[in-house]
Amino acid sequence: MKINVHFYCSRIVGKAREGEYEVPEGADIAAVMQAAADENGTFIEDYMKYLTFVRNSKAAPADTVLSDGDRLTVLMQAYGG
Amino acid sequence: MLFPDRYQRNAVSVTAEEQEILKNASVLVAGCGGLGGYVIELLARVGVGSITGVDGDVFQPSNLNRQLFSKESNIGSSKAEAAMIRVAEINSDVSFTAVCGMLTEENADALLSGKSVAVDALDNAESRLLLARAAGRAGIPMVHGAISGWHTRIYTVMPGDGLLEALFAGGGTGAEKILGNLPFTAALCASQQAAETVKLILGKGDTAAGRIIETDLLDMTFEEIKLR
Repeated sequence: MKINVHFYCSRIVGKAREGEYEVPEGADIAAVMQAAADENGTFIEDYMKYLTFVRNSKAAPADTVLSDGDRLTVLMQAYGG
Repeated sequence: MLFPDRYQRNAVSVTAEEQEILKNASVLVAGCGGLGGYVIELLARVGVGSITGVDGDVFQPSNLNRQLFSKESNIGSSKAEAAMIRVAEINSDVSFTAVCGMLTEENADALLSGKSVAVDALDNAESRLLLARAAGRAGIPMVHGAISGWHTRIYTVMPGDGLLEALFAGGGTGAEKILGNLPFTAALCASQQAAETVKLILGKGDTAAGRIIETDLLDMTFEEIKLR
């Protein structure tokens, strides 16, 4: 299945702004992020804890199972003030 | 009023009638540091009549890069008291209440009583969620702002919308732990929060309710992510 991903986290993931990733049926958000990391040559372990996700306009944890055609937005988690 | 022309340059973007509404408004700013310092300064200058600043911390040398009320001469002093001193210097018509303690489950409801808007200028997930819950109980909006590195985020939490809880549900670590907090990022985010607060008080414009506004100052990009 294909997942549309929009990245708003270029400071830690890389320069990618958006991409479409092919993942197996039943894949979760973490699996898509692994595919993105593989493509970008980055290590998911380095940054996964700094990210938060929005699936089709609803916030979703990393273990959320996705469906074909989902739109995934990847944001940096930020608490700073 | 000591300076009758004080608000002349607010007009006509803020009308005389709206200026009166701002004068009668009461805002709670939780946190008087990087975001809260600028938010308080801007709300006082635009003419919000009553501001409560809550912060139990004192200034440290690492605050000097971005926290508006920090000075070399007031390291070790209360952030909330510094805000009170500053507001008295720039607009003596504003009633400022300094709360030199942390926002807690015990004091949050009392502090939000009678307020028009709550501003989340805090620096950790637990306190931000505490304020969102209390603002929900008070039936008022909360203007959330957060920064990390070159990046700002704001959105407005409406009572009971649960969006902040959902966004924080995955836990994790704030990216500011590795990216730091830059001065212009804090100033921009606070400006967005102050503008949003004024709009909510006046009931004008399109607010950031139901949408995250993300700015990346290194790429100079501005993005909107709708939430439901």
